[in-house]
Amino acid sequence: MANIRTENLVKRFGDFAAVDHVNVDIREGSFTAILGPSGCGKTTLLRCIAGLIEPDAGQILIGGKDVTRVPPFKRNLGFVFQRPAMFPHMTVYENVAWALELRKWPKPKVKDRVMEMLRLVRLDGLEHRAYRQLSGGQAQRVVIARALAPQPDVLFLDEPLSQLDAKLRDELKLEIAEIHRKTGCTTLMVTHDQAEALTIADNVLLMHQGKIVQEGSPVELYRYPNTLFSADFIGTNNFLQGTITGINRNTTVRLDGTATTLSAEQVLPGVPIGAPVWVCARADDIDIIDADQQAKSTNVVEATVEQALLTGGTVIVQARVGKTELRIHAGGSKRFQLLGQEGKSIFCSLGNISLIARGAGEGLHP
Amino acid sequence: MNISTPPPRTWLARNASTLLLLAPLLIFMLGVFAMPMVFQFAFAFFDRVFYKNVIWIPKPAFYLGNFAEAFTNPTYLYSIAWTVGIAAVTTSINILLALPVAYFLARTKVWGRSLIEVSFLLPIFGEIFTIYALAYALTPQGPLNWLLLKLHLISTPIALVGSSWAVIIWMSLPTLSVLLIRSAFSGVDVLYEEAAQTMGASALQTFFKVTVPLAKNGIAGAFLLSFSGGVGAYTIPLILVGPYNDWLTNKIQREVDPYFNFPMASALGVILTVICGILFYFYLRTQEPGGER
Repeated sequence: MANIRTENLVKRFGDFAAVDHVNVDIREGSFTAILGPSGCGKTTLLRCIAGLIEPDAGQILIGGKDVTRVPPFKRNLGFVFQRPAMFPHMTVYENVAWALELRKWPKPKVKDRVMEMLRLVRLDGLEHRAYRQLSGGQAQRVVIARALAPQPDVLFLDEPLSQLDAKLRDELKLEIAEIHRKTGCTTLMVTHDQAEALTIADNVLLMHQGKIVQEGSPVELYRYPNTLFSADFIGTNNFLQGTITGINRNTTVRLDGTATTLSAEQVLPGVPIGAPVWVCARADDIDIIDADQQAKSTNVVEATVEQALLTGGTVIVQARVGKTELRIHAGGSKRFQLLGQEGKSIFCSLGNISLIARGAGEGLHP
Repeated sequence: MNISTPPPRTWLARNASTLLLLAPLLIFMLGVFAMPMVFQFAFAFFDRVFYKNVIWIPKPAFYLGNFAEAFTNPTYLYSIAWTVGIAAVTTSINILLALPVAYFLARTKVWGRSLIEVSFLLPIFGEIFTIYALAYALTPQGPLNWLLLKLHLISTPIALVGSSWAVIIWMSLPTLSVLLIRSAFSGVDVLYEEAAQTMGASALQTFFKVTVPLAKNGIAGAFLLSFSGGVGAYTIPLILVGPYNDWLTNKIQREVDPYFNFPMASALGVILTVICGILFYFYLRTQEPGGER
């Protein structure tokens, strides 16, 4: 177990900076997810830290030791790839055992450890199977066992679930979380799937265009996005323009062009009263309320329904507040009342809104 | 409505198009490859008679004397052992030299890679030309002796041409095997090598425990091709050593030319074919499915 730090890490491919002056500080024993859209540099960052790619500039420290120029086989790490990298010319047992033999474990300990790891990933009894006799999920579990067997300082997961089918993915997702809980090994996972990151990780690094744009716990990231990118990337968000009218423990905001005042449980540091802000309201957080419930609810706005679509569990409502579009994911039994309400006016409680500083005269939508 | 089953088609009707497509090659192979093989095999068991006290002619019979002779007469035995032994040693050197070059070509993008690759084919396309070039390079006045003299490794030029060393050097030089192994290495997913590295394997450990085992089919193919080329080499010993060399191929030729002993030549040919056949059997064993799902 060890912590990971990078200092001004840079990796360029030609003119394109895949990793652009990245500083991360990953706590020992944490499960950190690097989340971001395709091409944001998250895999490059992971491979740099693991030593599979040599960075152009900057430093990598694992457990306080500078490993920037240390080859990966001397870094004491475990790596799980996107595609199951189980060696096809070795059995399940041999795959796991080789990881230990390479680190010069004594023979009798190897056998015990291999069986222990196979039990951990629930593959005991399959130790003599070959690659072609396993499913994709089982092969991936072999790789996880193999990576964790020699007690690495850090476990790297490079989109380990993306090649598996949906059901298996959900299963293995929870299993990975469970394995992390049992072993406590510092884990760094790359994913483009926000649900995956929010579910398993206790710390999320949101990456965009080679830079870390936000770091925090899943709840922090979900509830208090610090940029329009984070707000837009995670979940479905609505962006309304507002102006700060009051700051104490909460911040009060007036929606531009209306008399509606909203309250956010958040104070933006260094943003004074009168400053323009983006009000972010998550489509999943918005509740449709009856007209007489207005006084009991928080952050109520009136909206006009433009379209209501039943998708099964939720009704997606496309509504309009003034000039701004508002998307609502309505759940519960009330959702059926919204169907066929096009053109009608509804009251919505925006729930927990979050604020992002906005430059004066900044455009309508990110 | 009545559904009538169509009458079952004959085997010939079902496979007519396949047979038609195969026919030209099949007929050709039967004519120029299979038939002579059958004749050679039959000839190997022929006896011979001294016709009118003038000439030995083959006499149809089932006679095992040729094979008995081949395996008891020290001259033949030595020739078989020499041919197979040299082929085994040179093929091993050949493959060992080819492995790093092939790996380099498979994993790096060097400028002019295709040119380098084609140059490995040159000795095969222009065999006679390259043999003479090598013969020159190995002469006492040639570049190799010049270099060794300059480096003070030898004091007098060594005569390599005319000795078996020239052939050993020639056969040890990797040519086609580089290309075969290169494509085998290209087929090994870099993923496995990266995985090995993250597991704690050094570059050499990765190469010998992951890359080579995963490319073993291609390497075995290159070995087979080199080896059968080695045991079957005729021109190379003839040019580099001279007509009276120990290679079995040349022995076979001499059985025919001065001695007119066709049955003995055939028997030696069959032995050579069987040796390659045994190796081919082992090669097919390595090609059995394993590995990929």
